[in-house]
Amino acid sequence: MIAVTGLTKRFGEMIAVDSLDFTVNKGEIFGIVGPDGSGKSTLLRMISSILIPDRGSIAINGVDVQENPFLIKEKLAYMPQRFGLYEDLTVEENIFFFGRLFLLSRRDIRKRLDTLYGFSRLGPFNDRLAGKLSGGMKQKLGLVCSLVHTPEVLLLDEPTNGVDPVSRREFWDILYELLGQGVTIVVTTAYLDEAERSNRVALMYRGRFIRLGKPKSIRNEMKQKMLQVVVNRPKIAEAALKKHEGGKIIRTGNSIRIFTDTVQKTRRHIKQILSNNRVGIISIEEVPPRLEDSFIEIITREEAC
Amino acid sequence: MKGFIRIPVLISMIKKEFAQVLRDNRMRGILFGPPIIMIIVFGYAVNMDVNSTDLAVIDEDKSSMSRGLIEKFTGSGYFTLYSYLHSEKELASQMDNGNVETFIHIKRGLSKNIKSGRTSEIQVIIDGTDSNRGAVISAYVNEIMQSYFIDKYLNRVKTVILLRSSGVAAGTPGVASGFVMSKGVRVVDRAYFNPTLLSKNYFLPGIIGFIVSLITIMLTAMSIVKERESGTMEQIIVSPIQPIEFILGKTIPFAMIGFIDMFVVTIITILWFDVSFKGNMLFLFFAAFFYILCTLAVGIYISTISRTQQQAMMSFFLFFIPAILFSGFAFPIYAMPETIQIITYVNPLMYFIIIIRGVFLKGVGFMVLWKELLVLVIIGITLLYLSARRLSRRME
Repeated sequence: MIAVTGLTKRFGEMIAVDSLDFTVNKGEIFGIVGPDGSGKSTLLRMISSILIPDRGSIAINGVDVQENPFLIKEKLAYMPQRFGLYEDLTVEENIFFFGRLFLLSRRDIRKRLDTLYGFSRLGPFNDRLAGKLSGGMKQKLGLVCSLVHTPEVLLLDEPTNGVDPVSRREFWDILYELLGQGVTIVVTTAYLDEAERSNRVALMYRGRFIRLGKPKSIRNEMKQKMLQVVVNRPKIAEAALKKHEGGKIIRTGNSIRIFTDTVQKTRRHIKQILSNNRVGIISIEEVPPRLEDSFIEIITREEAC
Repeated sequence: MKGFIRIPVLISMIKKEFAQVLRDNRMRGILFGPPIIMIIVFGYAVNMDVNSTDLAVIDEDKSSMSRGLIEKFTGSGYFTLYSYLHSEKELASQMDNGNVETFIHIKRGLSKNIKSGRTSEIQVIIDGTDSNRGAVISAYVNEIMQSYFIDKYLNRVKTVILLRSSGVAAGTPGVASGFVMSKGVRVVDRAYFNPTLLSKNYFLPGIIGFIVSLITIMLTAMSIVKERESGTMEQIIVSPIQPIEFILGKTIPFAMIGFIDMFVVTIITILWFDVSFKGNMLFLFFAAFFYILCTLAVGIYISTISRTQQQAMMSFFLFFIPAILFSGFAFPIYAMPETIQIITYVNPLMYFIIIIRGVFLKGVGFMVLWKELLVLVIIGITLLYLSARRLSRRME
């Protein structure tokens, strides 16, 4: 459905997307997980033809995005992190306006309204100004507006960012429903748990996919537990721990985070190493690993091999 | 697919634009408020005419002739006698305070000298702080002197007029224009096109150009930048709308509003302020169409260089103020240095104001104004093409 080859985009010195190759199959949810600034949005913006890539190509159904932007645009929907709604138009006016941009007749749009209101439950609010909706409802309206023209490909950029858990679950239910209708969905997120609902997941870090596969296998590969130690002499502590624990150590300021499978054992171990090196421990506790930490862990593990 | 404009898309753009403008309190305020307020403020407040000026007199002659002269002044309707003074020293303080603008010094022996056939002198000092006003008062003085001394003593009175700025010691000539009336010849002025020489006849038509520019540039720039600010621009870009459809959808509504505003303001100028309209209304609006092309182009251009509505506002003034200064709206172009005059040649507002004034006051039309119209057409189409291209490049 979507074929990306050698895709590269630079912003000055920084490489946002670094020679990416991947394909997305028809009718799947393709999740892209990565910390902020990893290039997820840039990638989606290139697929949706807002940004022009420096190198590489994107084809949707065999049609090149850059050569035939208008052909692609009719089949595609892109929903940015903050969907651009006309806040001074009502819910219904927004839907009609975006539908009209795709040359749908008023009658077609009206027919489609039932379905759209059905899954979004925005029906009762059809006369409300978009600016007066809550965050979750705005996000749903954004989705509805991008779905008026029944696209074949749906690109979602962190659609559930800043949305409450209930709305988030509802939002994913909608995505599954669309999937049932054969829509291909590419979704980016900063939450690993969300990515697990996709058919396939790519881990994106510094413009590259460091992993691509089924959510389960990626989950298994990641270490689940982590200890955070705050110390008074972080540099000495880092050097000493590195000797014993290898590359699973990440230091920021005077806190050191270490991946582990066996929390109790490692905790004792660390305490001993640090006291041998005469480093004072301010606190030591178990914390859930941050996505970025897991990524660094995977990369350092790869480099060690 | 690409190339031709799809009317349904265009119509829904225009409808949406009107809905947004009419719903946004700030935008709705801009539509008709400022134009009407501006025309009314200018109509009443910007008045360069001198209707009344305070006069002080030193009358050393104290004859029936000198009293008659002073009565002639006060009876003219332009001068109000503020006080009689006794010395020039008093005058200095009165003028510095701004109590008195015009001062007449009639020397001892005026009537005696004239009656016995000798030349006599009358000194007039005018506050020249406001040079325009000073010149107007000076003209009034000359006229009154002329008509008072006409027939009998024509060649015997010498009026010395001194224009003086406050702060300069009394009696120091700023600009001195003295004259001796020559025998038998009398110059009678008559101004064509604006016979009463009222400044509103000159300014109000100019204001029409001013208002049309303000409204169309501002609305176009703001509404495009607003799309970018609120993120809707991205949705427009990913939709299959073509740049040309978007640009037309963004300009047609504001051109229409510009026309309506121009019509309202023109009607107020004619009916409320009694400015005579001698020309053809159709020709005026025909020319306005091409002028509005220029302003829409400027609005689009501003939208391509501004990211926020505040930036758009700042850039707007960057364009608007020079456009007004170099348009001949208030400051005559012939008085500018030649290098600066060149700037005015590329200023569409200059041509438009010439056309408005020509149609309003002279009643001329295409036969006389075709050159200005042609330049407007060329500038309008060129600017619109360039800025539309600039905007559509940013969209693709």
